[in-house]
Amino acid sequence: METANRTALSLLDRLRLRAITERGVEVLGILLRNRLAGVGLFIVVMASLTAILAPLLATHDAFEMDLTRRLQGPSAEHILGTDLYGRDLFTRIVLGTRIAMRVALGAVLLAVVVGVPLGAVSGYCGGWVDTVVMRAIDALLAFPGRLLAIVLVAALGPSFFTLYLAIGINAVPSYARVVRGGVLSQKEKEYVEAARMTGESEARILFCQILPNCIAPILVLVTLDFAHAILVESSLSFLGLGFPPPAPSWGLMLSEARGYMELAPHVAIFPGLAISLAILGFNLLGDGLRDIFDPRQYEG
Amino acid sequence: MIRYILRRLIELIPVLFLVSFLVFFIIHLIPGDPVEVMLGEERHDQATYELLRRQMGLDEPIHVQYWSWLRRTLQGDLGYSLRTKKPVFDTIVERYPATIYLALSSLLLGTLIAIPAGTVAAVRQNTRWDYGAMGFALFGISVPNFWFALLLILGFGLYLGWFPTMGYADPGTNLAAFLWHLTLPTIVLGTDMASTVTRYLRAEMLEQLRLDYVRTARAKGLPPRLVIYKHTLKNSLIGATTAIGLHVGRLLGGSTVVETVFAWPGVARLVLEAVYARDYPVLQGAVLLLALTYVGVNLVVDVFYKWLDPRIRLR
Repeated sequence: METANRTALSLLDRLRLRAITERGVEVLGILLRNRLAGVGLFIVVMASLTAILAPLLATHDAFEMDLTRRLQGPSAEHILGTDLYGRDLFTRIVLGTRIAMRVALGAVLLAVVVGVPLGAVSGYCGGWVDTVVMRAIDALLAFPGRLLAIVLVAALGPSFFTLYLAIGINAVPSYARVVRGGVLSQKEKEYVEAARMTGESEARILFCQILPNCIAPILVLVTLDFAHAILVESSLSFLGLGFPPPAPSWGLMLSEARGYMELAPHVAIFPGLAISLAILGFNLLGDGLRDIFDPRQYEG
Repeated sequence: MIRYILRRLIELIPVLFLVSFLVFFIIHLIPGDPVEVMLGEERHDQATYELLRRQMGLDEPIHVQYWSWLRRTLQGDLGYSLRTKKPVFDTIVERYPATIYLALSSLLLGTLIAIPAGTVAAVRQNTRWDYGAMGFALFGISVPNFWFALLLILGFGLYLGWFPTMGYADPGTNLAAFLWHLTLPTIVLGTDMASTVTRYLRAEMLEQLRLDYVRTARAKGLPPRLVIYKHTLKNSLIGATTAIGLHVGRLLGGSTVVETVFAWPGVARLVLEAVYARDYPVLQGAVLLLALTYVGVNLVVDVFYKWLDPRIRLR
């Protein structure tokens, strides 16, 4: 299988790969020159690194309670202070980054894995397949997304998979629509005809020739959906529908802080800052990418 | 127009089926046995359990249960709350006004912020005004509602003591107290709405300002103010209606986090209370009505949009 794939990587494929890489480097350059998008990229990279390296960055045990040190303000020992149970707030926020990023990644992946093929096949096949898929997508879109997320999480109980599903399912329609539009605009082009003449299978034409040309708007959506997923995850855990205590989830930390924020405002401020910063980063990056790619040109 | 509305109504059928399936299956998905919840702490024997199970129809095959549920629902019978024993329909109707008041005031505030902010940002693109408006919009999009709410409570409620931190007053009996309680939740939801609508309006307006009719209007010597406010803004608002309409649908469904933080007795909090209490009939009824409201409002907004702009192509 592996060797078959490698031999199938034709000269054309390799040229295309190089073009994509070059375009990627070019986009990165534009992003860094656009100040706001550069800030966004920086925040996103930092958040990702924090999530990956969380156990190394943690200065304390996130679950160790020390009632003699409860609700302390920032100090040299606890740089962001401690919470109601004397747990180190910095450590908990760092570990919270991991939860937020993991849920967002899972939710967005689920939306991409379901939405992209649906939209691609729908646009490529047309006819009744298109009608059925698009009607189903419209039906999903007509349902209030947040309500669906709450009901799903309440019904299935909190777990990583439930959160991926509850948050990801609401993003499926946008991917299906954008990809469908992209495929529709591409499928009559000459390179598709050329590929067909070289005897490539329809599936390969769709997924290896057409789809790579629809990557740009997907990338914009992925970035903006990351922001949205972080927002929904923290909202759900704030409402008590996410992971149960003592999980260091950002929303849960804020929910716990509600009762004593007058005494210790830092407990209500730092986790909120972390959430807002993460969402801001993805939004800035998404806006920057959108300015570069302008996905409206793909929408059908 | 009538054909358009009819077609939209026909398209609603699969949506309504999805809604009904989802609502029906809530009761089968939620962990725990509804019969046990209903019996609660009471001591009971196997016979009582079986009897109740049969009364609730839970011993029937699933498709029979679905049809009988659908029939009852269509007749307006949503059952009784397990917690309060009151009819579900009455419970929801009781909670709806609070959500509607909050939705309307937020809509008003959001529009009042978004229209000037979006207009100024577009007309004075790349000036301090534009950056200010866009900074505000970015703030609204990035700061989660529940955290913004907590900050407002902390600042204006706990420290300054200007506004109550939570609660509700009936507008019929005490209008002043009602408005006083309404302020902070309205600021949260109004800001949330204004941030997306401002961005939308700005983009729409920048697009319009590039069009030929604007150049023509300017070339024939119309004062810039007239061109902007009478021609461009009017056309841009048609586009912004979609963004506003999206929020109407969302606001009328209630914001769970805002209603929770401010202990606002609306329908969204009712859903959450029903989840916590495992009160299935209320959960089913509320989700059903909220979904129907959302679908209905979106339909009305689309029709309204269509009516505003006859150019929109009929598919």
